[in-house]
Amino acid sequence: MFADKKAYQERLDRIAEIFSDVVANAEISSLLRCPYRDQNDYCTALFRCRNQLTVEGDSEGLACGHTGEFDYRTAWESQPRARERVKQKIADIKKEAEERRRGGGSEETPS
Amino acid sequence: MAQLSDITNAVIRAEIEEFVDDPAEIERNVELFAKASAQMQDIAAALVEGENDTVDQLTRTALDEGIEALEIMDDGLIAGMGIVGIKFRDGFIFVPEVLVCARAMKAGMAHIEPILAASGAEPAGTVIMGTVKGDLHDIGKNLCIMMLRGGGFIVIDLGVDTSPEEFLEAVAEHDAHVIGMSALLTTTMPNMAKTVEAFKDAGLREKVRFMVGGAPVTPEFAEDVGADGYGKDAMAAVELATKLAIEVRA
Repeated sequence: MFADKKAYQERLDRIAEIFSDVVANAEISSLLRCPYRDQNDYCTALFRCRNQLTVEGDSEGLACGHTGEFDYRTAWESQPRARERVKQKIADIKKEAEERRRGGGSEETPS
Repeated sequence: MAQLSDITNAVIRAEIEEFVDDPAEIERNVELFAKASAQMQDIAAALVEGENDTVDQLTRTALDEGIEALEIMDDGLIAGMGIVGIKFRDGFIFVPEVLVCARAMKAGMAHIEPILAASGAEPAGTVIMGTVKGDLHDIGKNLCIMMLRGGGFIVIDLGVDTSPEEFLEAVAEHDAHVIGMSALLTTTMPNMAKTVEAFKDAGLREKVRFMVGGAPVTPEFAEDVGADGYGKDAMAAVELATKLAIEVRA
């Protein structure tokens, strides 16, 4: 039952190799086709996307209506211009946390 | 030379016939499956069809019957995943289907891992993975998880919409030292910072390492949120997790 470590490592390396190929192919295919779109053209995303289509009489789920003519990722963003505000928000979160820890006597020294 | 008809499992025969085009790959797969037992072919077929409960059950049964773990890996799990890889590469299936098959493989590997550990092959580390609070995107995270597991890590998947408290609880429960946070929306990226700050609040920041990733995340943002590293893709995530796991143990 207990084979040697080297034999297992060889199998793990083979698994890693298969997965590496999968990820490399996923990177390429995701440039043209939304990775949430399955082989039956249904959307598997757990979130709302502007490309999701309700198919009349179909209770299976939402279809993907992406045409492949534009970057589908823009349809995921609810507030595409929020990026600039995010930097400030992160700074605020860190500042508030540091102040809270100073006031609350945390065990760890704030960095 | 083995023939396609030597393969007893109809699903495997159909998969090779329908989806494998390259003559060298056909020959290799026919040879591989023709010599595999019917039981191993069943495991491979269940994996290709993404049936994780069946893979779970068949792997457990095979081990109980005394079949070597290496045989199950070679002729069942790896052989099946090889077919999945070919189908994906050639555009017959897509990322969602691959992830379902990877989950089925994980169900089988869960029974192999204790044997692996007994052989002295220690896991590379334990990683807690989650998409941050407010964010429901999971493909990138799931690809990272697949790669990390392939790289020998034990991965605890917290799923999507993960709160700082859930990360804290998972670290305590699984004695993990590396945390991977994913975000696909700029609006949820601040929740990475909130999670890091929650670990500081709990006095645990020095005991863990954070890696972050996702389409809008950059090395600069990673630094801003207080993470220890940024992984641009799933392959980079494995390298980074390996580095951070070693660093945190030192």
